[in-house]
Amino acid sequence: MFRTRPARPDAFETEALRCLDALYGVACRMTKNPADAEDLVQDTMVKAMRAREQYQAGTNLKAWLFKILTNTYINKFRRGGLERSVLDGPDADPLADGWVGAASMRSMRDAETQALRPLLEAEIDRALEELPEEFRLAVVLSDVEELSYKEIAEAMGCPVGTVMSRLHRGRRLLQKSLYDQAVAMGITAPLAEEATAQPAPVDIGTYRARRRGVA
Amino acid sequence: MTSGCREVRRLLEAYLDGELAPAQVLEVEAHAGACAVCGERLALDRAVRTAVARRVHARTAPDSLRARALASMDAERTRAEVRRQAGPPLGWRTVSAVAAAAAIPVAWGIAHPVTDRAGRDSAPVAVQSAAAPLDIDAVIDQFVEWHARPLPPEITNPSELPGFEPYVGVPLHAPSLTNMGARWVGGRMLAMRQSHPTAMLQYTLQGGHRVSVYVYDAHRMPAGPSRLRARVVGSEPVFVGSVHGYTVATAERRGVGYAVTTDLDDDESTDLALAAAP
Repeated sequence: MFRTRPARPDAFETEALRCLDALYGVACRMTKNPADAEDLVQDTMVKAMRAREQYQAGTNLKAWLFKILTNTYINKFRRGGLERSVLDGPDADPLADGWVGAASMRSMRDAETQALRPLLEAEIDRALEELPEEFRLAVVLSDVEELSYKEIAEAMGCPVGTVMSRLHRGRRLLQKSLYDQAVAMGITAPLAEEATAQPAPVDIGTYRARRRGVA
Repeated sequence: MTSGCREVRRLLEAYLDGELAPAQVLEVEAHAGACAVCGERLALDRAVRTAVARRVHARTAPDSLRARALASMDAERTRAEVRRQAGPPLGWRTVSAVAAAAAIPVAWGIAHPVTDRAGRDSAPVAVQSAAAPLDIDAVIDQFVEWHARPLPPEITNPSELPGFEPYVGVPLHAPSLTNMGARWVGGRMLAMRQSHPTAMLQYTLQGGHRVSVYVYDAHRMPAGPSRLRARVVGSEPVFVGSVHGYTVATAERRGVGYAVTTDLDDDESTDLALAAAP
């Protein structure tokens, strides 16, 4: 009674398989565990196959798959929803804009390649891991997968404004952690030397460090 | 930092995210070209992004995962094919419309022997809101009770459903659960605590699973802290959890409450609640 079914993946499947690396990369950052990440991607693929009629051809398939991945992650690993960040308050951003001067920023980059210094690049892993979950997911979906605010909002089930604030805070935290690392490694001078250019205290730790530097 | 800097800093992230209008793009580019500090900030932001992308992309899917994905695609394709051949309503999600009117009403209420209460909920009990006009947990218990011991339907034709509207006080449409392979059985009116009218819509799924969908005025029976746990699907919360061995999932759309009671798992019940709430 079976018709011979196609032995090769059809267009939808081919396109979905093309997203496998991207899904796996993000899943690894979410679960922090390759085995869980594999399961998460596998579940996502099965759900996508079963719901494929709901996918609107012509829209961003990758964004659609990430929406399924995010929901599957929340349902499977975070039944109560994404970990809320303790920093998620109005005044929680420890880093005012302009927290560091041009010279320090320049020293964090490799002069020739304009890219981040390779030493710091390795620090990205740890910095990402330390980010609160909802910030990490937003940052990865935006910076790595280049989804739009709207697509991220749909994937994470929150308003666009929340996405923007999660991105902003996530990126600031990430840069703060890289900056601290750069100072620790002696790549960048501590903030104290730029204190005159930075009237607003950044956080209590650097504020004290700055005072010690001035005194 | 000049006011120009401040204005541009505000736009910098959205600029790199490609979310700015063309006029703002020009404004950012002009300023970043002229201001060393903002130019440096832009370059650093860009470098960090590139580094993040590079690190995350460094992990590629292992061959084992690719093989699993291919195998499951194959299996899903076969499933879908079998379903197409066998005809409706066997499918979960995949089979499209089933002619609801043609569906044979199954005997509602004999498919359940003595209710097994062994699977009593072990989920953490949330704090109840004392100010709630109607105790939400009591409402959920009532939903389960009606589902466990269903009364026979008053209507068997979904087109009669709007006749309940004046009683429930909210628009009533037969939810499109048929897309998920559900077979419409019938509907009836019930009153929560003798005063809160609720429409109960009854369905069956393949495998003899009964599904009860309750539709009610959410303003009179608002959702609140309860045994059910919140999940966010799309942009709307769904509350789901197991109660006396059954699963209850509730959702709200434009002031209309929808609650689904089944013997299926949380994920499937969530899907049904979402399908019930248009």
